[in-house]
Amino acid sequence: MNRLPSLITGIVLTFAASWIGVVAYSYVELGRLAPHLDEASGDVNPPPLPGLAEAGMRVYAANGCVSCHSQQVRSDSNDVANKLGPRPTVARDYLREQPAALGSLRIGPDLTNAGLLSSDAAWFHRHLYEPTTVTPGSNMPSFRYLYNIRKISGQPSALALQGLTGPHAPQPGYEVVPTEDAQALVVYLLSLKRNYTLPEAEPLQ
Amino acid sequence: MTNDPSPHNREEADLVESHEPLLLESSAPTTGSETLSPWLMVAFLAIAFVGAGYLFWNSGGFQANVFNPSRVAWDGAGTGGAAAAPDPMVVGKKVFTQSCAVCHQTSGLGVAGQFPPLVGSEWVLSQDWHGDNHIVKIVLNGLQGPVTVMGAQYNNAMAPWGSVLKDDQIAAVLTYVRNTWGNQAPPITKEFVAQIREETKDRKDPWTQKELQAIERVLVGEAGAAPAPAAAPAPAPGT
Amino acid sequence: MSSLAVKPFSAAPSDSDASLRLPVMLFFGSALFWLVVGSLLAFVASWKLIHPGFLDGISWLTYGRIQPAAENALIYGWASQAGIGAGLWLLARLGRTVLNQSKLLITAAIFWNLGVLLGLCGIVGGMSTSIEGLEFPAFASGILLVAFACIGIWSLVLLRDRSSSGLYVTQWYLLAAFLWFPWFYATANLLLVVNPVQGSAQAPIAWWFGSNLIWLWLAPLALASAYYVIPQTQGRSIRAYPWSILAFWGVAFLGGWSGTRSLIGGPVPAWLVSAGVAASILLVIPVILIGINTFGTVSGPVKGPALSFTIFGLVCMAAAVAQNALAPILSVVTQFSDYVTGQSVLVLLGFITMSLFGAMYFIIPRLTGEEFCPVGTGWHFWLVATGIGLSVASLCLGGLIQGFALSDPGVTFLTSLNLVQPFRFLSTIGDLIFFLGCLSFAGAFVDMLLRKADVLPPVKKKGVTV
Repeated sequence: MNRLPSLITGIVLTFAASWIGVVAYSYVELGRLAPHLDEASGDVNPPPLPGLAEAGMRVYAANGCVSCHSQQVRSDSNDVANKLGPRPTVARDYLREQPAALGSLRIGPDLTNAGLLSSDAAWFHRHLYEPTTVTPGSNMPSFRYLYNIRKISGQPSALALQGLTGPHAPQPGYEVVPTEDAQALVVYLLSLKRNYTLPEAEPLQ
Repeated sequence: MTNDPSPHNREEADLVESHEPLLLESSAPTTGSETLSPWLMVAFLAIAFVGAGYLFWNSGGFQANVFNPSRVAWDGAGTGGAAAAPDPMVVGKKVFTQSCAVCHQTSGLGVAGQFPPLVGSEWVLSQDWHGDNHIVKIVLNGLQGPVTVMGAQYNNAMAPWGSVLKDDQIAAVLTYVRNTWGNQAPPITKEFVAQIREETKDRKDPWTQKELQAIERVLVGEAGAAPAPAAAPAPAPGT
Repeated sequence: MSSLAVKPFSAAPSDSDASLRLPVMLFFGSALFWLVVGSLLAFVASWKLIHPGFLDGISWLTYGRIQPAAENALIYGWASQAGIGAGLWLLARLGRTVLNQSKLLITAAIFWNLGVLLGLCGIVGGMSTSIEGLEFPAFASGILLVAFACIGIWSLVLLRDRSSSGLYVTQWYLLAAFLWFPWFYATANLLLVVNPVQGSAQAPIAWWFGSNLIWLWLAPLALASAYYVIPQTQGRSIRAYPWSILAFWGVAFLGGWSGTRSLIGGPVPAWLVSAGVAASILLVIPVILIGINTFGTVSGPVKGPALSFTIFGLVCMAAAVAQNALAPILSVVTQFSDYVTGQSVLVLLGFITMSLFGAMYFIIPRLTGEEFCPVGTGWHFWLVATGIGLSVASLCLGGLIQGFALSDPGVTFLTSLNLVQPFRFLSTIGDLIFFLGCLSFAGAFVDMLLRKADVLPPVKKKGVTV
């Protein structure tokens, strides 16, 4: 008596249930979602990303930002009351994310709407360079390695970070210039705004 | 029941080297005597019931566009929360920026001698002889020739927007214009715009001040009562 | 219920043991190496969480790279390899199969380790995919899959060529795990890494992968060992054996569905999340049955490392499943807090790792004919048990407090951070103790190999490099 074939069939079928139900379903039903054209305003939501933002996403992924920062505003929770965003997020909000960094922990604050925190790129750069000088008590590590410290020769760089304090502030005659990675990351963070309406989403608060 | 408890006291090295059979015979299934307690079955049923019930009550009708089951009506017409009606002030501002601000300026103050202001304008606020119907007609078909706004003379042409903007967009931009920069006037509804559009569907040319002045003023609130023989208020398209 | 009978052994198990000695010891040895690496990295990551200035400003040592590196080292380097080694041995033992082609398995083991090494270098080098449990860059995952193809084929050959016609539940779990792993690992890599679907569809697939990694890969390996180790060390039959088959199908069906539980309130169609919650609740049923099978078989005091570790692992499994089933009640508070970390420590270290320790304590002496030093074994058990217990308890408790603080609009984020810091400190101590326990096990392993050097020259070489 060889039960192997029927056992293998069962093993395949039980697995296929969730494979079809979760994976194929998501692939078909969510994967075909298109940006929503708001006929009244002519807006396309979620809005297209600025060019550097896509590179910024890769920097976000490469440095494991998702280990600490979630990007989801939950329904039926205090997330909206906690001002994490004007409404809970829905699947279509992540249409242009690659990868969709929803995250599972809030070791740091949620970044679903990081672009609404501040529209000042310099603030984000200072924060990435030395977090505690911007947010005292923060437990975020420094991302100094995304910045170049170099001697000012001739004209100072227009990109150089201004007003740095703390132990890693540049010496006089030196400047801190963001690398392309840092610039892309900040463009991406600034682009994180889920403050538009979608038909399937709850209304904005 | 061929279940003889193992007499073997294994020495580890013994197991490796000896040909002593392993004790797997004892893991052959045992029968009847080990049926599980019926209470356990009851507990399993209860767990299954809780699980299935949770899924049933929180399924959101198994629809892909329902994200918060507690916000779904049980009629199965599930969209996550009521589809948010767009705020006319937000939409209107967008339309204004895209279509109107070139001439009337973002400030709504226009350009002296060329484009009349909207701030405080009797045309916008439906004062004197001006009615809500006039301003809608202007947006739909445009305006040309000499006009008087707040005592100042202008002679220019405004483009018709009726073929570009939809009823709800026109309603939104007018509502916006009438409630910004200190202006205050009742909102224009898209039904009202639709009604005017229907009434004037044969009109091709821009209006002139003289023509408009000859038309009786109508306000939004009175629109339904106003005798509009041919115009059964059409349901607004695209909503 | 089937009436599966497993016939008694009549041939010498030593033949199959001898044929598998080298590949299995290779899997175990390299698994231990990655265990030490992974638990050290986990400790460093935890330490960085409370002292962000520690080793900061270095790209490849940043928390966001070290932490996933630790997790992947533990999943693919340690648990998967220990489970594969144990699984191959169990298949050969139960089927009384003699493996003729151990070279292919050895090659597979080398390739698997190469994949893990490259994957970890990829993560710390800034090529992480940033998808939990799937952070390895595509080339490393590809190497793992190729290596696994050889392993998986051999596991099927071992099953097909078995001399006993019956199939014991251990074989069910192993066959299933060896079939499921390449399927879900390839699916997830294809849809999330190689040719990613658009962002809105990624979340359910990623969480489905996460639950498969535990319930359809590591847990079946651990359970397969437990179902063998417990009756064998006890010398008793599995209690209520027929129900173990129902439990098997329960795990098989529910495991993959349960992952979306973690997305309560998230941007995923509500029914997918609810199905995940329902599956997590229903998973209690097979786990109760497994508990009856296993704990019901144990009588008298728990003696010997194989049994103690296995029992510890099963208790952690029951605790983890109970926690998961409570997700709909707790998640409003616990979601996104350290409680989530505590849960994954409970599963990956408490359940999987401890069960696999038990399997290794059972198998290795039978392969080498040499016992572990009891002192080292004792240290090992108490260190890892204390470390895991301390980590899980402090993370869950701290996570609850942090969760309440996070969901209270009147409490600032920094306040919630200050509340949870002492608990993170305790869990870091737990990670350190766990690491020391792993070191002591690795030490005992090397010591045993050295004592056995004359019998096992090739393994000795491996042992020394470890």
